[in-house]
Amino acid sequence: MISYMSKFRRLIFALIILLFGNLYSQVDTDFPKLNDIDLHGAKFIQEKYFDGGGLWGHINGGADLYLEYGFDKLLFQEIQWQGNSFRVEFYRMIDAEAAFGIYSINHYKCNKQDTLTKFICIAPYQVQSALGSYYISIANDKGGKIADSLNVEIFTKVLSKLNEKLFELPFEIVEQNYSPSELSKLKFVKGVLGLQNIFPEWIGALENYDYYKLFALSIDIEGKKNGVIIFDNSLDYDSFIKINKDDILTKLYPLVTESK
Amino acid sequence: MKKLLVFSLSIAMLLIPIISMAQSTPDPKPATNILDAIKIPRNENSMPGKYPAKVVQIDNDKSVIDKKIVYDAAYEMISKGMLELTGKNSLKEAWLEFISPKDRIGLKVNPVAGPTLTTSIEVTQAIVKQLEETGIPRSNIIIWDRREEQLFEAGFTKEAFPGIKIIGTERPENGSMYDESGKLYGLRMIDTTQYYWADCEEKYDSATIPYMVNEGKYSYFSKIVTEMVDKIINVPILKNAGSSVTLCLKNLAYGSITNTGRLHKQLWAETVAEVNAFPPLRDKVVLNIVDGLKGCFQGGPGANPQFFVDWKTIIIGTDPVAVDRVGYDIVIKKRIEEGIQKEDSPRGRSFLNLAQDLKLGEADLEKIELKKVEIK
Repeated sequence: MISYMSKFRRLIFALIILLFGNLYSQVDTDFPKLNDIDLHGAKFIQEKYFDGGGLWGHINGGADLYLEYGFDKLLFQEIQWQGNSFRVEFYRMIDAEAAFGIYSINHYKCNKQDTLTKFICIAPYQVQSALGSYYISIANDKGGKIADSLNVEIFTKVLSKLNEKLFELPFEIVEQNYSPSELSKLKFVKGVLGLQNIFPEWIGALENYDYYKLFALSIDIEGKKNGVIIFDNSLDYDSFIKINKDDILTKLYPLVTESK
Repeated sequence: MKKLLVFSLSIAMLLIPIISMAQSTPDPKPATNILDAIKIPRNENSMPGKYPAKVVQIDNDKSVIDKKIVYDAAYEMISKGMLELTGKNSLKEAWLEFISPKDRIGLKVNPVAGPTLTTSIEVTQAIVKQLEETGIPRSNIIIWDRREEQLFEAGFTKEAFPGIKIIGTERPENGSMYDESGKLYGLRMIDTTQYYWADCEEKYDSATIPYMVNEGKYSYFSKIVTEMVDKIINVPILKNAGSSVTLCLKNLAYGSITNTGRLHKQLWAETVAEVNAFPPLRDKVVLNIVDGLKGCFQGGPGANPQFFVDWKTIIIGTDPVAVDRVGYDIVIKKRIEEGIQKEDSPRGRSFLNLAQDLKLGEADLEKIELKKVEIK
């Protein structure tokens, strides 16, 4: 009897492990996962999915920025291909705007930004892109012409697997008529962690508002800072105006208007 | 109704924070049990350690060649730094200032961002070598962090460190994070008698809980720091965290306790400072060696290669606040130089001021004795 119970307990335990194991490594067929047909001869070292707060398990405190924008799920693949090691990360965000936000914060000096798709940064070691609701990063460990060109080749494979509607910049930005080169420096922030990363000098002005969108260029044009702050509700808008009126408002915000 | 503001003046924009900070009232911070820590008497090892407000920075242009860290250069940099810090004539004497052959020594590394942006294997091996030369048996050395899996992935393996225990608080056994009774193995690794309490909490889903170990208002210290080691040598990597840094204090605080997810948003700076004020860290961390051979100035704490930089420096001190202050300056200067941010934000330094208030070290750059050594 004891032996039977023991076997039974072991069976239950095995089922629990299987269940947890399944949850833990649940695949998601929507991801543009790379396979050996895409990359002939590649060795797939590891593949992991991270849901919601599970992203802390992948990048610890770095996860908070993604959660601030709105994170859904990550597929991480480590791949060895043609003598190089690649870390491919597909961050599926809650929408295309969130993916663009992360992309805007994470890209910096790009060698190329005008090829393959609308939001792409091809740089030494890394290709990044906002493809619809996905923020994608492909990074190699060696750098150099060959490894970097393989980054791009991997990205084209990803591109062929995704048919996502790309992020559209808000009308308020479009009507500013920034040049493509200026637009490539556009950053999108919607919370204090985004501000900390890219515009820490503005934290004080915006940290007590929960619902706003700040689109700003990371470069000055003719000595001027350019961008748009969009408040989702009149209450926050009025409060911001009230706090920053008089001395600041007339000098800082030459154009104050309702969104179109 | 959506409303917007369009702005286009830079100088005046900088005035906003000053004015709005004066007029708005931030949410009150959740309470913590920091007063419990302050009541506990200090000992001779307590932070800021034997050399308060003293920091040694060793630069070596040949420490990274063809993108690879040169082990011999790392060894020499640490040696010079140890001698400069202690004023001793021999390396062995210098190390014996902080440790004895009987001590069980924990090397707290930071492998979080993966193999491309981790405390380097070379710097860690150089430290191990010098410990051995001082008479510490390898069996008395532990390399540790929160996540055992990340340690292995970053290269902290038994092959690279034969005879040395490599362990994390959050650890799997036989491929699972859960034991036969469905409990996390991580629960066996925590000391529920020593904790950081904060009046905030967060619910974690099933995918998250293995990385947090527990929910609720308590963050328990790992048994690695409460039971398994007598002394800690802290070996963070020189990198940013937003417009701040993740160096000595952050590496220790967030690496030693459970249930950290709830603390990031409201209590980041407080946690970084206050957790270090509890005895398992305050009284055991005897030395900080910042691996600044490689690092990053943006994108941290994650790895984003566009922002990687070969700093080619190592920073050493017993005072974690002073070491962090020096490291902070290096990172922020680079961020400003690269146009990532316009100026230093005092908020980025708030954790240093909090740590100084807790008497963990010196946050004022003017009061820090910084010795620079250049190896040519």
